[in-house]
Amino acid sequence: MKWLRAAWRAVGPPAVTVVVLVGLWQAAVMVSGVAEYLCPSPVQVWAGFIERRAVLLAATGRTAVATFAGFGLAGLIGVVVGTVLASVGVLRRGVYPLTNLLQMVPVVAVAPLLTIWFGYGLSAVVASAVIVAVFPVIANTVDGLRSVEPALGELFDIYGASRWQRWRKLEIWSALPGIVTGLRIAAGLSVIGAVIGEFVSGYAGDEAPIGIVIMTAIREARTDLVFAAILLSAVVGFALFGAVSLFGHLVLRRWHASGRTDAREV
Amino acid sequence: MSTADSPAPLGLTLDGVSRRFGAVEALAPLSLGVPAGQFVAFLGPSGCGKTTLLRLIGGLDSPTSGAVRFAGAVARGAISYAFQEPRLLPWRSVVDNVALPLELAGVGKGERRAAARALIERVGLAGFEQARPHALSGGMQMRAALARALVTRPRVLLLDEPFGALDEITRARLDDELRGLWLAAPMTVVLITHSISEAVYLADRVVVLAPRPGRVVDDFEVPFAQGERSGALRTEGRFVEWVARAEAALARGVREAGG
Repeated sequence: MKWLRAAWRAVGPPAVTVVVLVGLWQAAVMVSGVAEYLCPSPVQVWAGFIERRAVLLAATGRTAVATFAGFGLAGLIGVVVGTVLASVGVLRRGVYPLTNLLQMVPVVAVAPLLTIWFGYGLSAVVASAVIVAVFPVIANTVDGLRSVEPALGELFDIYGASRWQRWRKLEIWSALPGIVTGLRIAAGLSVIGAVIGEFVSGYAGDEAPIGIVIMTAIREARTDLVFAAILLSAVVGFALFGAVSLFGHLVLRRWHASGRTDAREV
Repeated sequence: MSTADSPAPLGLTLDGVSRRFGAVEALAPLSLGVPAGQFVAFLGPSGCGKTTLLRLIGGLDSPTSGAVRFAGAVARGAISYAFQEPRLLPWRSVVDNVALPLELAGVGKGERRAAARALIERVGLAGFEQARPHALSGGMQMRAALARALVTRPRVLLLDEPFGALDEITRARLDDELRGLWLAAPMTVVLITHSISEAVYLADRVVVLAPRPGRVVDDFEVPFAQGERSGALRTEGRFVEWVARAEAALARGVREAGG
């Protein structure tokens, strides 16, 4: 039963906070008598969700697919590009500073271009998610690979390690805590990138993802559906973030401080 | 690992070896020979170039002039190193840390782990094969590092103050065990230390270095037989005499350097 208590210690307090916040929200709407189209109460949001649950859940599924695909590609591209930038001095000095631009270009401004290149639908949405999510993975991979303990590097010199052995047995492990941090940030960002992409390039009609459902609901002044859709997209992000955190915990807990304290301190 | 199938120890010669870092002469030209199988200690204060000297012997650095010569071909893993810090990979278990040099040399998993296990037992870490380094005490981490240095069956073992960061009690114990390991698997040992009693206790020969620039001020053999080297020896008069000789040489060297 020890794990049950540990699970309660981790999940219990935030769950209580959520219940209290929802209760306050409900009370505030009821007391103030604010119009539903301005701010619906939790009960009204729930009713709206039940009414349109088929559309909302299908949309959530589509957004989840785009988010996960975008996150996966961002993770893969980020680690590969980060490794190349960290290993090749010329590229690190010449290209790495420019990758910062990825962060500064507003994806909302780029999204229409993505529609031209990829057309409407999944590809453009995934591309939008990748653009937003890839930078923190690149940056944390480069930093991690560059921060290998020189004393350990010397050990690999002494025993005549090849470049590949060095990368696989020393550098990628040293960089792992940083890469996990980068992936955690990318998890949240990829939902943002996907929904923005959907605003611009998502299919309307039967194959509508969350972003399109939100736009449609806004036009119909169905604020309850907007709230329901926002909460569902947050669930997608939260699920991905949770999966990445779990992965980080599993690979780091036996040897890295960040992985070990997680479980104890929460 | 029995004595019979251990590779023979390798002698080495320093032939006018010097090292300069910019305007600083870390090591003045130095010539001496270390016969195969000798346990030699280089003793000196910080700044006397003793770590530089060890790095030159280990091939981690190149001399400004002169050369380090070995009395035979040096195969991969023939020269091993143990540092002041354990330098263990935190994500690896003890057994995979100890097996690392063999792994980098392409030895198969079963074979390298068997070799690692045997050495882990020899350094007194049996039962901790699967532990991660952070779960071990400083002394145990040093034992693991020593096992890793020995796993390649080196012909020359280079020790850079390997027990310098440990408490005196643990240090004295590891000194004894190190001596035992050297007896079981003959190899040439070059130990760098700033502990006079450690140098006199462990080594067959003590080379005293002085700073600015690093140079030899004394070089003598310590005549204790193997059976005499135990904790009790450290308090005996003849031991103290050799310690006094080393101390006098150190003081002379520092005086000459204007310190």
